[in-house]
Amino acid sequence: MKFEALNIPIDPLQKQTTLDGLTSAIDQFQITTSIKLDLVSVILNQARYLNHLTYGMYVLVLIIESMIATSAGKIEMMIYLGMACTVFPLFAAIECTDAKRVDLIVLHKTYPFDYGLLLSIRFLYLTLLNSVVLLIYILMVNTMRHFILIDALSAITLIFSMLTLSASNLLIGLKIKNGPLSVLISFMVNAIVQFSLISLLTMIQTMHGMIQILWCLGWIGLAIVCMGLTLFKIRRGIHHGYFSA
Amino acid sequence: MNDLKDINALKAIENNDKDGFNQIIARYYDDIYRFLVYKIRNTTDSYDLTQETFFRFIRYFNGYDHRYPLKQYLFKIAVNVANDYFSKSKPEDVGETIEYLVSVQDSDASSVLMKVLMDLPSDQREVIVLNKIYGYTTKEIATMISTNQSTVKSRIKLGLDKLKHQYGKEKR
Repeated sequence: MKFEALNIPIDPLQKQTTLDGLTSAIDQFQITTSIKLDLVSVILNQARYLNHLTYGMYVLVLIIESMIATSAGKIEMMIYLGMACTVFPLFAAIECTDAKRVDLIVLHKTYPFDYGLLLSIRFLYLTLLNSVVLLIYILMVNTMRHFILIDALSAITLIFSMLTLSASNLLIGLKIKNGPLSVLISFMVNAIVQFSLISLLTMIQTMHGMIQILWCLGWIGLAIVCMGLTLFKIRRGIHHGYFSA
Repeated sequence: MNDLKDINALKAIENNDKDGFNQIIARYYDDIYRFLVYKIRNTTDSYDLTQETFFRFIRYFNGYDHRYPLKQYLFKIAVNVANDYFSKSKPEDVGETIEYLVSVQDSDASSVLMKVLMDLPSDQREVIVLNKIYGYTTKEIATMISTNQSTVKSRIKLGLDKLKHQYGKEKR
């Protein structure tokens, strides 16, 4: 049975009549897409990257502070470093797997790239950026090793993180004309999540032994899942031929 | 995911260049029309339903999520348009349409296949057409016709079994 051999003829006259009928609908169409394809939108979204970056910094500061305070042994230090190294790719992966993000839509509509390609570019960009920051922080802490400085950095990064988050959320919300209520809800949810995470991290710091190791393994597991998801999305992009375009 | 031609057409619309719609219509008109003929078994009304499909696409374009493949989206609209057509119009005799479609085939084998395909129940015919002619996976079809994947699989299996049986019978 050859389905591809089946034929249904199309009458050009009837086709043209229906096409003519569509012309007025096309003429009347008004684009009301709320996202404008301008540079401002892209810049605004960079604020969100900054937010994750500063939040990642805060996590790292907590880890280093804890390392110094407890004079951790070699194994514990390895675990802490492993955890630190997974935190950044984790953030990057979470960012990348969220395809509903405004900046992705803006880039997608501005350039002829599909999401698979955009996701992979962003994943690499964020991981690279975060790795550089990680390196700077390690170097900085190794050189200065000053508790007051570390505490101050911790507070500054936290405040900066919260500020950039609320500012970017508010601006993006207004930009895409979501309405004040959804902007407020989005801000509240983000704030609650962020505060919960910080509280959880602070709580974990006071724990010892097995619980801490399990916590670290949990992070690593989550990071692997997120990265797997990202790679799956990238693979789908390759499958659809977007990398060859 | 959309290919580059679709992306460019959608981008043109986003930039208020309405020619993007013409590009999309020119690209998918024939596929949508033929699918509707298979679905409703009426060659004349299918022109109106194809027009209605593109009308809806234009009307609701602002709500279209660009991550959803365009062609699949159009087929989904066409399925809804055809379902509305069935709910509004009375069942009519489709014998003449089937005869006409059988007569325009290039070979005897195709004529037989067209006849047995058109005689299948609507739900089985629809999934077989989408799967065997348009190459959609069962998962994609499930999304298009708003049902689950196992239902699509069983409809394809039942339809194909019936089709093979009838095809063998007609060929003899």
